[in-house]
Amino acid sequence: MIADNRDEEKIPLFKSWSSWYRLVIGFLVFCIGVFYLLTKHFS
Amino acid sequence: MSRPDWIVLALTLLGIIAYGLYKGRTTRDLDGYFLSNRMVPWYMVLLGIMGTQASAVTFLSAPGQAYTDGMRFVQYYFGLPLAMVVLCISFVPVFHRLKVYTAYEYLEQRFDLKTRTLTSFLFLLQRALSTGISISAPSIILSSLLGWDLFWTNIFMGGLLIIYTVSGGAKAVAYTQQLQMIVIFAGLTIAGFIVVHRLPEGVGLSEILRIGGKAGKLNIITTGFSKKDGGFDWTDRYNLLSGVIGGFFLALSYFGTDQSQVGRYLTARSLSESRLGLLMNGLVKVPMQFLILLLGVMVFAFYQYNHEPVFFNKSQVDLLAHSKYKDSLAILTSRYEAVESQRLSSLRDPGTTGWPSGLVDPSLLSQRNEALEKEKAGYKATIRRWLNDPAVGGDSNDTNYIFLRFVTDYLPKGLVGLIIAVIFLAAWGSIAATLNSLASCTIIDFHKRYSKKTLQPQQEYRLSQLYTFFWGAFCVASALLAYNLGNSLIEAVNVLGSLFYGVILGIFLVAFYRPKVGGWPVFVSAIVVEIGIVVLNILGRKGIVPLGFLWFNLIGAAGVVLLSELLHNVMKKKTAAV
Repeated sequence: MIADNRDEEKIPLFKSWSSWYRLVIGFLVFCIGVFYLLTKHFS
Repeated sequence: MSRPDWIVLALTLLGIIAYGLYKGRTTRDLDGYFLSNRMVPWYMVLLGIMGTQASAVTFLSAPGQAYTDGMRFVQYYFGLPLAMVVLCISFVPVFHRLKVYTAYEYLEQRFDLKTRTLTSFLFLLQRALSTGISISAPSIILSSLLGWDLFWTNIFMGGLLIIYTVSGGAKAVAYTQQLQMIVIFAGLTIAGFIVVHRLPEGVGLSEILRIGGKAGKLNIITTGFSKKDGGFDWTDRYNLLSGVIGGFFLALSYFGTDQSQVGRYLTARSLSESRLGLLMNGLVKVPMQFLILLLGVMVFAFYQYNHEPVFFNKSQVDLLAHSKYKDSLAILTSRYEAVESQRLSSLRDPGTTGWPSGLVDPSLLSQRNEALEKEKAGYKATIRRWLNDPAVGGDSNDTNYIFLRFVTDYLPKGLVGLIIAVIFLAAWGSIAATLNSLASCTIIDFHKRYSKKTLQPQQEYRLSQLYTFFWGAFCVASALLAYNLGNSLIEAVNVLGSLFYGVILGIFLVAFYRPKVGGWPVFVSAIVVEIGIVVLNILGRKGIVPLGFLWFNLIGAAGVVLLSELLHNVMKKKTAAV
């Protein structure tokens, strides 16, 4: 994999892109969790 | 449609064309025409990516799909956020560093000319065919429901956007997509509010969820494992596993190797702006799709309290009324109406308790009125059977008509025009980006690469406009030929994409992650695996190899990676032996 530290431009909001990646994946897990609870609750 | 609807529709569409022409002024060279001089901010990259992916069928089919099959279709998008992360780490930095116009340019630098040409050709083939469907799908639905002439609907759906796409290139596409997405979100939000507003007093979102849940429409997460024997159902199209794995490979291929998407984030001001646009897409896509599907559940709840048509596609009922089934249809319709009146009157049964305004929980009613529901289902099945009769030659799938039928029957004047405009704009955003990408591949990967004549920037600009016009005309012509695909239209587009995306992704994965593998092994592998995928699809359709289409992406990508690695090793051994 090509390291993302090649990008020397300012990263918005966080200190590194890795934090952005964690946010995106974390939010997906959160969504799946909420959807699972909705499915269980309303089935 | 009423006069206010026509006015709203015409003003919205003309406004978009004028805006595209005004904002599309750029430098008269390839950089300006295909990359907007790399000056686009991240939020326009985001709206461009979303506008390119969300075609008209997304907004027509998705609510209908939730109405009939439930919300499990949202799982199809679970792999997308993961793909956005991988793209930001590996694909996007390379494209930016090399300052390419098309994704396939990189393949010549990494492998050779033939691999670049093959991949670009597969893209052109797949995109040109699926764009025909993207134009014809909403045109068929609109012409059928509103009685419009199909030829002219196709021309308006695929033809008017050519004006600003040819004139302003990527910049016009980016600015119009921004405005289009705002109109689309506004239109759908208003439609959602009106559904809730038109429900009986006291029936709100939580009741809608209860109604949908009882009817099995809130099947958002499904595992794909059979309840009977516990085995995994490989033919099941939408479940958690196929959504995360198959959806990941599909999204990685679509956003990383499809020029219609790559061309959007290459226009960004910087690598950071490209990344931010893609990551934001990863954040908003799943909730957005959830809300679009929820709109379908809302419409389902609405029809629990209101008269539900026996078949949502009016034109097909008219077709039956002029066929050998006309007498049987009259009898069936009167029986269906009697059942519906009985069902609706039982909703206000004062003897039943539980819901506001003397209403009965319809989910409980559906259990109590099981016989009525069965009778209704039987009538609907009969209509479908008649339509499937070769003597009638009808379309028995009315999924794509559900939302639009609700719009035309129940939305106030003016708003119907706005929702029809939303459908046009969704189609335009997606098609305009595609035409721009088809033209960029044609001129960059073929014309400039194979022509010995050197052109001035102004001539290249003019030629790019000509190619954009050519592809626009080609796609409209193929839309006129595409008719009655038989399945849900959104799926038809996705199935077509999955036949090619896996192989294209496999080529890029070898390029990025297998640095020792050269041009010949990957070129041969791509051809062999592509033939294999097409054969698998044919066998799947005949029921010999039952497999959901999302798996083609994984098989195609993995097939190219493994086979090219194998061929590389064989060639290495042979060379060593010599």
